[in-house]
Amino acid sequence: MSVRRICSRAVAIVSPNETVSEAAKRMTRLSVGTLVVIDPMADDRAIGLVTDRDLVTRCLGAGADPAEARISECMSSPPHEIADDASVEEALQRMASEGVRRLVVVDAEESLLGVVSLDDVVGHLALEGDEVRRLLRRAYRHGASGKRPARERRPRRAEAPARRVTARTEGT
Amino acid sequence: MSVGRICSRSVVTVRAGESVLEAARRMAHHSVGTLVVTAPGEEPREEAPHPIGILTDRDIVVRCVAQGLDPGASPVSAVMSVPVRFLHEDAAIEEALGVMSRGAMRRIVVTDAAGRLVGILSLDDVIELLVEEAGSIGRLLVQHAPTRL
Repeated sequence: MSVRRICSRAVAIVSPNETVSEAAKRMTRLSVGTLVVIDPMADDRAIGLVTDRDLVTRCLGAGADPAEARISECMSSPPHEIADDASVEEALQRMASEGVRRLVVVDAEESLLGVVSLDDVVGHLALEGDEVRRLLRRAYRHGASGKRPARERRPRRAEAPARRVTARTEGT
Repeated sequence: MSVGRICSRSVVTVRAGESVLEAARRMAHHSVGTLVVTAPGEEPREEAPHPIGILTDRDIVVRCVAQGLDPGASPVSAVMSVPVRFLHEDAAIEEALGVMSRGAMRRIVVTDAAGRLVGILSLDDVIELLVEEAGSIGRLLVQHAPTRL
């Protein structure tokens, strides 16, 4: 699975010259906690990320006036970028090694495509886990009744992993 | 597994009467995004204060900065999240997950029987536990694979 498939494509953007209070209004209106800071000269280039946490800790917490302070003063820049065809596992490794929860996703031309967050990755893994759970449950149910209803008949390959898991669990 | 077992016990507090500016400074100083709000009279360093609410960096952005309020003149009580759902430390993690999903919140304040602060349970704490357990199961399956099949 590529990060392109799980990243958020509809990202909210902000210019580095906008004030912190303008950014706060946008986060509120769009119900987001992260804004991608874009290059005022090229709106497909990300130059940073700014989160609600940054506004509070790097502006307010540092004693700056939100009506005066600019986004350029409290953003994280340059952004941690990842190619859109990179795998989800690669995104996870990058987040771990770089100590961040969000990566800016760019295409082959390095144009901004979206943002992939740790939440996106965890959500994706949880859905995969849920798929496995359903597979297991089906295997157990069929094992108990001894036969499968025709409606739920599945190809062999879908059933194989569940059987193996059952066998190992019993063996342990 | 109870929420008391996995919640974060190192919690930074702020009094309801303190300013949002002071709260922001405290978040920056401790590198946290969540403060537990205690009653106006309670000392911030008191051993086990009684929580009355929760204040996140997002609350400050949405209810103070975006509204154009002066953070130095706005009390924490005006922007904190209330009512807050508290959970007893013996509550099950499944109960916590239910509260989080119904209330669309990621954090719950954990208290003891007397209503004193025990810690904060975040969705991240729950995910960490689940991932750890999934990892143990995965290792079990992988390690036993050659002999069992």
